[in-house]
Amino acid sequence: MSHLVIAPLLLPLCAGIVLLMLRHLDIRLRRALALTAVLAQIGVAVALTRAVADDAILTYALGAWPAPYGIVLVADRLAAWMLLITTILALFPLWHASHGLDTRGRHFHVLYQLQLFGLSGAFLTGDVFNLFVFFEVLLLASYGLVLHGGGGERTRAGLHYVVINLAGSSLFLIAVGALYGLYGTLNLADLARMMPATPAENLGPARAAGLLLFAVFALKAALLPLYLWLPAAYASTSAPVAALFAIMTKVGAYAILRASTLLFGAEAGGLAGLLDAWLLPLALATLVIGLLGVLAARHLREQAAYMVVASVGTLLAAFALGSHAGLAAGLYYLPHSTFAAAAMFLLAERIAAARGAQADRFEVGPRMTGEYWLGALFFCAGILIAGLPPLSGFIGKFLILQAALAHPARAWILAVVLVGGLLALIALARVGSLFFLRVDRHRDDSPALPVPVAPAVGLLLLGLGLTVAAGPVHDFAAQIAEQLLQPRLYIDAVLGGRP
Amino acid sequence: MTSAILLHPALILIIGALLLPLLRGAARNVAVLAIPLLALAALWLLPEGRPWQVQWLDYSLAPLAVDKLSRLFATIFALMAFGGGLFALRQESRLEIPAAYLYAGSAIGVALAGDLITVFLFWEFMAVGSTLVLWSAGTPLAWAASRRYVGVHLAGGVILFAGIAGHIAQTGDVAFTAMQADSIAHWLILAGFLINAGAPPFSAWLPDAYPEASWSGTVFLSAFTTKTAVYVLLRGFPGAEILIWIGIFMIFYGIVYALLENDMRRILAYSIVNQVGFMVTGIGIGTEMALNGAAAHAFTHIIYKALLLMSAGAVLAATGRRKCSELGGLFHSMPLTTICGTIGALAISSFPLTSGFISKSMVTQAAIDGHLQMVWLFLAAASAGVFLHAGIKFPWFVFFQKDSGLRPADPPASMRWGMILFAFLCIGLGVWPDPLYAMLPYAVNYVPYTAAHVITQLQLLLFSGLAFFVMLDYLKRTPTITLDFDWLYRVAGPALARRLGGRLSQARAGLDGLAREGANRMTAQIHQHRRPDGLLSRSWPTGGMALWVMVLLLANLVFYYLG
Repeated sequence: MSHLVIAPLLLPLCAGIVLLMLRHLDIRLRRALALTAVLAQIGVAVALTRAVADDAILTYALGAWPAPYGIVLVADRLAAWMLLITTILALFPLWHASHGLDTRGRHFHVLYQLQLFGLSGAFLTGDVFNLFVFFEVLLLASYGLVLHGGGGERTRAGLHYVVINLAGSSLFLIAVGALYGLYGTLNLADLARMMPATPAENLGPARAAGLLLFAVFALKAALLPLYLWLPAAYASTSAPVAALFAIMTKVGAYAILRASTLLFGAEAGGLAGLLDAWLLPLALATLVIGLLGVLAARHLREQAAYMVVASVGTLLAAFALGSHAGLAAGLYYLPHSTFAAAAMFLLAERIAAARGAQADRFEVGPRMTGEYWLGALFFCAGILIAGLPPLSGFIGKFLILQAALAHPARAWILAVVLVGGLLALIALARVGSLFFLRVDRHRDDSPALPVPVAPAVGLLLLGLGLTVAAGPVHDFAAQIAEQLLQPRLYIDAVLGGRP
Repeated sequence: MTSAILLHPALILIIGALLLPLLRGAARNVAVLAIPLLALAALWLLPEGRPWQVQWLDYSLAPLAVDKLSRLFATIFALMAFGGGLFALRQESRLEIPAAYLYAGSAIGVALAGDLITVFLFWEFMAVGSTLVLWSAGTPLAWAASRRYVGVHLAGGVILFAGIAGHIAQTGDVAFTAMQADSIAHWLILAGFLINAGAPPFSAWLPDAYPEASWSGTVFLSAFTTKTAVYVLLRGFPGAEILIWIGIFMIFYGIVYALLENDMRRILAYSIVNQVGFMVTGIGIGTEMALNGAAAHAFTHIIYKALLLMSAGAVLAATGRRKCSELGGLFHSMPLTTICGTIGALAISSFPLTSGFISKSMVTQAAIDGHLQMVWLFLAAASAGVFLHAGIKFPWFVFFQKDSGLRPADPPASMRWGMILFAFLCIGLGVWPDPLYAMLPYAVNYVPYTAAHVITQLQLLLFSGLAFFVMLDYLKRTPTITLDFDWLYRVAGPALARRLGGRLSQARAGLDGLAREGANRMTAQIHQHRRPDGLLSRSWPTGGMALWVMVLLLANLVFYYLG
């Protein structure tokens, strides 16, 4: 039993507690501490990924209580991959926030670490109830982060976010209760073991519970029609928080992926393919709605928020294919879309600061200081998000299309993904030309506050890294997909091969 | 392999384009001229074959595949970048030349790509580069045109992408070789290529966008996008019969609209569609002679069309006017521009001793050889039409005709030398075609200067020249607009969208109102019943309670008796 599995949980939790206790320490020291903690978490995530890169699925029974009786943490390739993406992403918004945002409210660093604690827990936990618990942890932290910095607009949108997530949590609890009532266990592996043998009279309630679970995950993932909370919340919160939240929708996507492969996979008997009928149409519809939002957005942060919606649509469309190639393509696309969206949020704040009174609204504004470099960065972020070659967006989309060609609904998928990409491109081209070419040359407003640009550059470089290392990354994604499609491996690893 | 990367002509131009903005003054001017020449030198140092292959995902890519056809197109693209760079040396916009070199480098990249993924990569780069060239003009008109332009091209890119993905899924092979238009994937690829060639019904993007670029930007734009499309059609779909009819449609589309047009650069833009039509027809005929003809015609056309647009650009830069009806009599003060423009006009009309004659006649000859009488008839008639709209109309209305009273001087040296270089090439290739013929993909055993060829061509030209002056009154342009297919997406589409959008907004506002009203009513009710003295939270007197209990008990009793 390797303690490496629980390290990703303990690190942020301890860091959060220490930061809370040392809250009167000089801000620079606290920043250093927080950054060090995130760096350490990246190290742990890398170690964990290496440890599970071969076929091993690591488990950790808390208090040495054997599953399914005790609480168990499970690190398979998917969990390690999500953890790696999250921790790497987390570094950049934190770096960005360390330039001043963290002093405009209380306990930013504490909340940030607790947020990471919740995220890590959600990826590693091996039972549905603790999934609920960690969802609550990450939501509680996110409530604080969303409202960090204050302001009327932010509070209004944040309140909306809080209420809808509370409603989601209560639904989650009902679903969890139903599952426990039916099977007497909440351990994922145990559920997966028992579900194929669901007696016929219990199939109805089991399906209802499964779909309820799906609804909750869809809410987290911002799937149509449950996406309405996202654009306002993301567009009005501070840039680093929005950037970190690029991973929050992916938590929902992760949960959907986990449930659809482990619980409702091909071997699940009467419950097999429960989500399939819903996932693909909803994903494509989400993509369309997200892109309409991208086209109709009135300012850059709103546009970036709708791009998050659209990317969730693309991602879940890939997962909905259910094939090995589809899952692999989606798992390659996941880090790409997360980093690209985060970069866009960070850049949006820089651009808004440089445009003075116009901020990031789509209006003719003054000439920006450093417009040449900002323009180049915006251009890179644009082609990254829109999937123009040669950056990783193109590769991700290419892989998804390749996988989709084997699916019966390929015409729909191809049409929506391609036309969607086109709309995103047109919208971004419009914005780019408006911001950087149609400037009012007679005005010269100096920027209000120096917003750092390096974290955004770092995220864009990650996109470049995904492009250059497309081969190895895609190979690893393919290995994850392979493992996911054999739920037996997961069950045996957790339950030790007992019948 | 490293040397192959260093010598990739496309990368030389693209990297050069990225470094250009950092340079100033003389160093920049030297770099502008040196970069295309370096690329040209690198191109000719490369051996034929595939010196650079990469493994990417599951595919083997060949970003550098050299054969005669690709070398021919890469050569003319590099030459064009040089000529255009020279002409644009004094351009005020600092964005234009870097954007144009990115654009030219991507065109070379397509020409040298050995696989479809690389083709697509550079294809999209080209769309980006050309849009930047348009943007760099900096006028509101150019901005609006660029938005339509980029929309059409990105849509074309998407169609091409879908086709390529389908092709790879079907064959598992990414190599860029000749295909048949026999499956959906291949039709999509063909459609993607044709959109860039300016084929119907999407021809309108070209005359819509190109004339809005700056005086030098149009020169760049005229050369690369359409001719790259000709190249990929030559490589991908030689002998696809549908191309003959598409090509002939383009030829006549260009002539008709150019004759109706008043703006000098739009006339020349329509004539690009027309000239590309000749090439597409040649590709459709598909014999060795026809393919040679199409390739040679692309080569010569880039030169003389650039020359024509340079002379038009010189006029525009000097006078600021672009309408034929506002120009005229410029030969008094712009002799060099007049001469160069006229040479370009003669070349486009395939006058003997100019480059157009030695290339276009190959396509016509191929139609004769293939016993395609109808096609030949169309091509011959079109030759006369070309002379009418570009050969006479452009120089006559701009440089001669009535005296508009304008007396601008010839342009500065860099622009003059750009024009002289290309005028020289027009005549040079016309007099001595052998170097060009030697570069063509197939062996040439064609002699352009036979008595029959020359006499036929001269007769054709003289009679259409006569027709022009006889019907001059009808050809005088008025400031009008000619409707085209783009009306659908410029006027009808937006109007429809606005109406739909209005309806949708109304519907949504209605729904919002309903929801808000419902929520308000609910909160009002909750408030009413649960406020401190509300029905549900008020403290009731005990007597009242006792009364109610008694009523209930009585009711119970009544039911007991009834039951």
